[in-house]
Amino acid sequence: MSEWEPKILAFLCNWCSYGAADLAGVSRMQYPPNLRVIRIPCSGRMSPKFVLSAFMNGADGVWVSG
Amino acid sequence: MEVVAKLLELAGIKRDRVQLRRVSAAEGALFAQYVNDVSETTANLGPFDKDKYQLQLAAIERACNTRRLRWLIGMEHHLQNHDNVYETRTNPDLVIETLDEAIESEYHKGLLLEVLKDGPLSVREMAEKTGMPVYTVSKRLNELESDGMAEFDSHEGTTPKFISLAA
Repeated sequence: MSEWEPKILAFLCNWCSYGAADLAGVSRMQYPPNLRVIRIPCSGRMSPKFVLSAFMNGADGVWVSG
Repeated sequence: MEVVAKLLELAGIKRDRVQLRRVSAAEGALFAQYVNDVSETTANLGPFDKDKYQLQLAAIERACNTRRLRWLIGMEHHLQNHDNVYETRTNPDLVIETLDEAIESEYHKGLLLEVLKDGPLSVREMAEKTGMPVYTVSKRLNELESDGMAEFDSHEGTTPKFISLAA
Protein backbone atom coordinates (compact mmCIF):
# COMPACT_ATOMS: atom_id res chain seq x y z
CA MET A 1 0.00 0.00 0.00
CA SER A 2 1.29 3.42 -0.89
CA GLU A 3 2.05 6.01 1.75
CA TRP A 4 -0.88 8.15 2.85
CA GLU A 5 -1.11 11.54 1.19
CA PRO A 6 -3.32 14.29 2.60
CA LYS A 7 -6.29 15.39 0.51
CA ILE A 8 -6.41 19.15 0.54
CA LEU A 9 -9.22 21.13 -0.97
CA ALA A 10 -8.11 24.57 -2.14
CA PHE A 11 -10.61 27.35 -2.77
CA LEU A 12 -8.76 29.81 -4.97
CA CYS A 13 -9.90 33.29 -5.90
CA ASN A 14 -10.17 33.61 -9.68
CA TRP A 15 -8.25 36.89 -9.70
CA CYS A 16 -5.47 36.22 -7.21
CA SER A 17 -4.42 32.75 -6.22
CA TYR A 18 -5.84 31.03 -9.28
CA GLY A 19 -3.63 33.29 -11.37
CA ALA A 20 -0.72 32.49 -9.09
CA ALA A 21 -1.38 28.76 -9.46
CA ASP A 22 -1.42 29.20 -13.21
CA LEU A 23 1.85 31.13 -13.06
CA ALA A 24 3.44 28.46 -10.86
CA GLY A 25 2.42 25.88 -13.45
CA VAL A 26 3.67 27.91 -16.42
CA SER A 27 7.01 28.51 -14.67
CA ARG A 28 7.22 24.76 -14.01
CA MET A 29 7.58 25.07 -10.27
CA GLN A 30 7.48 21.86 -8.27
CA TYR A 31 4.86 21.44 -5.59
CA PRO A 32 3.09 18.47 -3.98
CA PRO A 33 0.21 17.01 -6.00
CA ASN A 34 -2.20 16.57 -3.08
CA LEU A 35 -4.17 19.70 -3.83
CA ARG A 36 -7.67 19.68 -5.36
CA VAL A 37 -8.51 23.11 -6.66
CA ILE A 38 -11.92 24.74 -6.78
CA ARG A 39 -12.01 28.12 -8.46
CA ILE A 40 -14.28 30.68 -6.84
CA PRO A 41 -15.12 34.11 -8.31
CA CYS A 42 -13.63 35.87 -5.28
CA SER A 43 -12.63 34.76 -1.79
CA GLY A 44 -15.66 36.77 -0.63
CA ARG A 45 -17.74 33.99 -2.21
CA MET A 46 -16.41 31.61 0.43
CA SER A 47 -18.96 30.30 2.89
CA PRO A 48 -18.54 28.25 6.07
CA LYS A 49 -20.74 25.66 4.38
CA PHE A 50 -18.05 25.00 1.78
CA VAL A 51 -15.55 24.19 4.51
CA LEU A 52 -18.00 21.88 6.25
CA SER A 53 -19.03 20.01 3.13
CA ALA A 54 -15.35 19.61 2.24
CA PHE A 55 -14.78 17.81 5.53
CA MET A 56 -18.02 15.84 5.25
CA ASN A 57 -16.86 14.57 1.88
CA GLY A 58 -13.52 13.40 3.12
CA ALA A 59 -11.04 16.26 2.77
CA ASP A 60 -8.18 16.23 5.27
CA GLY A 61 -7.56 19.95 5.03
CA VAL A 62 -9.06 23.07 3.52
CA TRP A 63 -7.15 26.03 2.17
CA VAL A 64 -8.84 29.30 1.33
CA SER A 65 -6.68 31.64 -0.67
CA GLY A 66 -7.38 35.15 -1.91
CA MET B 1 -12.84 32.12 8.97
CA GLU B 2 -11.92 32.72 12.59
CA VAL B 3 -15.41 31.66 13.64
CA VAL B 4 -15.25 28.45 11.61
CA ALA B 5 -11.82 27.67 13.07
CA LYS B 6 -13.13 28.21 16.59
CA LEU B 7 -16.13 25.99 15.93
CA LEU B 8 -13.88 23.23 14.57
CA GLU B 9 -11.68 23.53 17.63
CA LEU B 10 -14.75 23.16 19.88
CA ALA B 11 -15.66 20.03 17.96
CA GLY B 12 -12.20 18.59 18.61
CA ILE B 13 -11.06 19.13 15.02
CA LYS B 14 -7.67 20.86 14.84
CA ARG B 15 -8.07 24.41 13.56
CA ASP B 16 -4.97 24.11 11.36
CA ARG B 17 -7.00 21.94 9.00
CA VAL B 18 -8.45 25.17 7.68
CA GLN B 19 -6.05 27.84 6.51
CA LEU B 20 -6.40 31.24 4.97
CA ARG B 21 -3.61 32.70 2.82
CA ARG B 22 -3.19 35.65 0.55
CA VAL B 23 -1.42 35.28 -2.80
CA SER B 24 -1.50 37.77 -5.66
CA ALA B 25 -1.67 36.59 -9.27
CA ALA B 26 1.97 37.64 -9.76
CA GLU B 27 3.32 35.41 -6.98
CA GLY B 28 3.68 31.96 -8.49
CA ALA B 29 6.64 31.08 -6.27
CA LEU B 30 4.79 32.12 -3.13
CA PHE B 31 1.88 29.96 -4.22
CA ALA B 32 4.13 26.92 -4.65
CA GLN B 33 5.64 27.57 -1.22
CA TYR B 34 2.19 27.80 0.39
CA VAL B 35 1.18 24.51 -1.22
CA ASN B 36 4.21 22.96 0.46
CA ASP B 37 3.36 24.57 3.83
CA VAL B 38 -0.30 23.63 3.76
CA SER B 39 0.28 20.05 2.67
CA GLU B 40 2.99 19.61 5.30
CA THR B 41 0.76 20.97 8.09
CA THR B 42 -2.10 18.74 6.98
CA ALA B 43 0.18 15.71 6.63
CA ASN B 44 1.36 16.24 10.22
CA LEU B 45 -2.24 16.31 11.44
CA GLY B 46 -2.88 12.94 9.79
CA PRO B 47 -6.01 11.71 7.99
CA PHE B 48 -9.34 13.25 8.92
CA ASP B 49 -11.92 10.69 10.05
CA LYS B 50 -15.11 12.14 8.62
CA ASP B 51 -17.39 9.40 9.95
CA LYS B 52 -16.30 10.09 13.51
CA TYR B 53 -17.20 13.77 13.20
CA GLN B 54 -20.56 13.60 11.39
CA LEU B 55 -22.48 14.83 14.44
CA GLN B 56 -20.02 17.63 15.17
CA LEU B 57 -19.94 18.87 11.59
CA ALA B 58 -23.72 18.90 11.42
CA ALA B 59 -23.81 20.87 14.68
CA ILE B 60 -21.32 23.40 13.30
CA GLU B 61 -23.48 23.84 10.24
CA ARG B 62 -26.50 24.51 12.43
CA ALA B 63 -24.50 27.00 14.48
CA CYS B 64 -23.32 28.84 11.35
CA ASN B 65 -26.91 29.16 10.18
CA THR B 66 -28.18 30.77 13.37
CA ARG B 67 -29.28 34.37 13.21
CA ARG B 68 -27.28 35.15 16.33
CA LEU B 69 -23.93 34.14 14.86
CA ARG B 70 -24.64 35.61 11.44
CA TRP B 71 -25.56 38.96 12.93
CA LEU B 72 -22.64 39.01 15.32
CA ILE B 73 -20.17 38.20 12.56
CA GLY B 74 -21.71 40.93 10.44
CA MET B 75 -21.45 43.45 13.28
CA GLU B 76 -17.99 42.48 14.50
CA HIS B 77 -16.00 44.82 12.30
CA HIS B 78 -18.34 47.74 12.87
CA LEU B 79 -18.35 47.32 16.64
CA GLN B 80 -14.58 47.18 16.81
CA ASN B 81 -13.83 50.02 14.44
CA HIS B 82 -16.60 52.58 14.78
CA ASP B 83 -17.94 54.73 17.59
CA ASN B 84 -21.47 54.15 18.81
CA VAL B 85 -24.14 56.88 19.17
CA TYR B 86 -22.61 57.94 22.49
CA GLU B 87 -19.30 58.46 20.72
CA THR B 88 -17.63 55.72 22.65
CA ARG B 89 -16.21 52.55 21.28
CA THR B 90 -16.90 49.03 22.46
CA ASN B 91 -13.88 47.36 23.98
CA PRO B 92 -12.62 45.00 21.22
CA ASP B 93 -11.91 42.27 23.76
CA LEU B 94 -15.52 42.42 24.87
CA VAL B 95 -16.69 41.99 21.28
CA ILE B 96 -14.52 38.88 20.90
CA GLU B 97 -15.70 37.58 24.27
CA THR B 98 -19.34 38.02 23.29
CA LEU B 99 -18.72 36.31 19.98
CA ASP B 100 -16.91 33.41 21.68
CA GLU B 101 -19.78 32.95 24.11
CA ALA B 102 -22.24 32.91 21.23
CA ILE B 103 -20.10 30.43 19.26
CA GLU B 104 -19.94 28.03 22.17
CA SER B 105 -23.61 28.25 23.03
CA GLU B 106 -24.79 27.93 19.41
CA TYR B 107 -22.51 24.95 18.87
CA HIS B 108 -23.84 23.19 21.96
CA LYS B 109 -27.42 23.90 20.94
CA GLY B 110 -26.61 22.61 17.44
CA LEU B 111 -25.38 19.35 18.96
CA LEU B 112 -28.55 18.97 21.03
CA LEU B 113 -30.86 19.67 18.08
CA GLU B 114 -28.92 17.13 16.00
CA VAL B 115 -29.30 14.30 18.53
CA LEU B 116 -32.95 15.21 19.16
CA LYS B 117 -33.73 14.72 15.46
CA ASP B 118 -34.20 10.99 16.01
CA GLY B 119 -36.83 11.29 18.73
CA PRO B 120 -37.32 12.28 22.36
CA LEU B 121 -34.35 11.97 24.73
CA SER B 122 -33.67 12.57 28.39
CA VAL B 123 -30.98 14.98 29.53
CA ARG B 124 -28.71 12.09 30.48
CA GLU B 125 -29.10 10.44 27.06
CA MET B 126 -28.30 13.72 25.33
CA ALA B 127 -25.17 14.08 27.48
CA GLU B 128 -24.07 10.58 26.50
CA LYS B 129 -24.64 11.10 22.80
CA THR B 130 -22.98 14.51 22.59
CA GLY B 131 -20.21 13.96 25.12
CA MET B 132 -21.24 17.14 26.97
CA PRO B 133 -21.52 17.26 30.77
CA VAL B 134 -25.08 16.85 32.09
CA TYR B 135 -24.97 20.36 33.57
CA THR B 136 -24.10 21.95 30.21
CA VAL B 137 -26.84 19.95 28.50
CA SER B 138 -29.53 21.17 30.88
CA LYS B 139 -28.27 24.75 30.64
CA ARG B 140 -28.37 24.72 26.82
CA LEU B 141 -31.66 22.84 26.80
CA ASN B 142 -33.06 25.65 28.90
CA GLU B 143 -31.90 28.18 26.31
CA LEU B 144 -33.49 26.10 23.55
CA GLU B 145 -36.76 25.93 25.47
CA SER B 146 -36.92 29.66 26.05
CA ASP B 147 -36.26 30.18 22.32
CA GLY B 148 -39.12 27.82 21.53
CA MET B 149 -36.83 25.33 19.82
CA ALA B 150 -37.26 22.39 22.20
CA GLU B 151 -39.86 21.33 24.71
CA PHE B 152 -40.80 18.75 27.28
CA ASP B 153 -42.43 15.78 25.61
CA SER B 154 -43.30 13.00 28.04
CA HIS B 155 -42.19 11.05 31.05
CA GLU B 156 -40.49 7.69 30.85
CA GLY B 157 -40.96 6.45 34.39
CA THR B 158 -39.91 9.54 36.32
CA THR B 159 -37.43 10.72 33.68
CA PRO B 160 -38.54 13.67 31.55
CA LYS B 161 -37.91 13.40 27.82
CA PHE B 162 -37.52 16.31 25.45
CA ILE B 163 -38.16 16.86 21.76
CA SER B 164 -36.84 19.32 19.22
CA LEU B 165 -39.20 21.84 17.65
CA ALA B 166 -36.63 22.97 15.09
CA ALA B 167 -36.67 21.87 11.48
